[in-house]
Amino acid sequence: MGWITLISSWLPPLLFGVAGAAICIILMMPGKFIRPNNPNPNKNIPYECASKPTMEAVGQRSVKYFRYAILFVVFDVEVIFLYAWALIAEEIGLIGFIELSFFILVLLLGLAFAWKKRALEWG
Amino acid sequence: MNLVELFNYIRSDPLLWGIIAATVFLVYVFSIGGLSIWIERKWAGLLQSRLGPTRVGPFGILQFVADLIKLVSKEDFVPPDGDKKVFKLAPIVLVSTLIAAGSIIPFSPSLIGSNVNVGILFLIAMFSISPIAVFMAGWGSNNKFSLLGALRNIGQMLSFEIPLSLSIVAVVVMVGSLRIKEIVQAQDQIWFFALQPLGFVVFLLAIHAEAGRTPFDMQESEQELMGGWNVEYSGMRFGLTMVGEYIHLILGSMLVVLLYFGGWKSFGFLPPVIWFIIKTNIALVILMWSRWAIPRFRIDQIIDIGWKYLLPLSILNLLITGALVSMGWFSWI
Amino acid sequence: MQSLMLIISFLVLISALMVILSEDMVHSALFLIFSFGGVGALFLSVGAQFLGAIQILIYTGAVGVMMLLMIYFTSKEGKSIKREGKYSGIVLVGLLGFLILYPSISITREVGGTKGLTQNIGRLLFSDLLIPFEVISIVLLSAIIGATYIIRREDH
Repeated sequence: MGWITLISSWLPPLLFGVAGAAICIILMMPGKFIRPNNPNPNKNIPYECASKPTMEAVGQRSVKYFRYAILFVVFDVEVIFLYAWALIAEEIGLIGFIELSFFILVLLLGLAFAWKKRALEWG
Repeated sequence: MNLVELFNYIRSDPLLWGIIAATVFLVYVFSIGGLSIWIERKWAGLLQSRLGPTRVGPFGILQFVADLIKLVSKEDFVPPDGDKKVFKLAPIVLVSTLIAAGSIIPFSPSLIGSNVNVGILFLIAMFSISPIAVFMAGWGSNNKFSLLGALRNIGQMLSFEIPLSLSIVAVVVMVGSLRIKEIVQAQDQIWFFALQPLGFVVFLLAIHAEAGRTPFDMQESEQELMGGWNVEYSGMRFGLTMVGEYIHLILGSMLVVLLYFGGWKSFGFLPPVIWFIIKTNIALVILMWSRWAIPRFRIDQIIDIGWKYLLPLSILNLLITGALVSMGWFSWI
Repeated sequence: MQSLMLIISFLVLISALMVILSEDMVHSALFLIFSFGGVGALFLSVGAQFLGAIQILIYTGAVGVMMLLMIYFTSKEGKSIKREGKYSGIVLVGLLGFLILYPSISITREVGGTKGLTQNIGRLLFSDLLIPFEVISIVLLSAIIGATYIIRREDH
């Protein structure tokens, strides 16, 4: 497989992405000529339920989401290896599957550990 | 030059083919998006004993044109305290990555943007960029509700991406190829939802949650977050965030059909591409149906569904499938 | 083809430079994510398709999101940062530029081939690299355990 095949297979996805960006800009264009523009200091306040905002938006955080991000990275890496196995599963047969089950088992142990330590609990 | 020769000529030039295919795909997605908004509103009306849109055009079918005109003519508001560049870039990132993901969807054996080698892995990779776009929107808005909605959306997408990938791996194991075209061609004898019932259920729930539709639309629950991460967007920019959401949903319904319902495989008497479009739109309506049938989950329930139910179930499904494939039970596929 | 590689390389380098030069932490992170994606495109353009796809999936999709969340959770009201060690960073980008640009200019051999195909990587993983492959699972296990403890400490 040379460069020609590579280009011909990856050029359309690239062009699709460019077209997606282009359609956004094209859709934004016509409005420029007809939409109103009435800036107002009251309009510039961050939208909140009719009251004035009391704190900066960025200061508040709930760190719960971060744990899922870490676990996600770990499991995402696991899934990548599964893709590599999936394509040759039939070829390497049962031996390969047993080797893979060991891989998954170790990670399931990790999941069970996180579960036991209540890392998956929300509250 | 007849039509077939013209098609083959266009197909042989990647640049020309890419441009034409991208244009056709965009037109298709936008018209289906507009139509599905109408269908969704009519359908909602039917389920809630009201009429839905009736004024614009016959049966209100031109409602999305009116919506479009409204969106274009609204004032374009960019929060002055927020991060303006990031705010403006977010919808573009969202839409363009999702459209790029659409380039590997085969509408029929020959109507495919590009049959790339890594196929569905590329699609998952493009899907995985949308949390970044959502974060950009939330951060750029400098609004508590936007940030909270963005965080919820990210947490939800991260929780459901692993079960989604694992159920896709189970299909890939049976086929032995990442190319979506070959996955569809492998469903010659039997559609995969019959062989992968568990994987299908997991996939359906996960794609539903990824697209952020109602039982799982915690990130934009109107009653508490007033719209979620796109609350500061107005006019056409808001329209673009909604377009992104609809493209996500349309791609999800296409994936359901391609992986589990035989793609363009047909019962004859209509060309394959028509069959594919019919099947995807049935899947789309079914995905939208749940919005009016099931109440919204709480965020902790959603995350629990992802990590405590779907993840173990999808691993179990993969192990069973892998064992059967390794023993050669699926060599006939 | 070489020109495409050069364009991608320049994009990667410019965004790497912007990571160092931009005053806003989120902008830095977004530029870093963009350069991750560009490296993925670079992999794709030399035929390492599996590597390119997982570069985008893992680095932009997973690590990038984690980085953004990290910035969000640690930032106070002021979002801008004062840069220290900017110049050493620029030198580092220069070295990176050499590493990236030199091969894409000097490459003469036809790239591509079948080495980068997912099947071949899988075959390699399950034959020669079996032990490292199994060790990876232990590494990932330790990552989960570490993450669990970090999370618990933050809770209490």
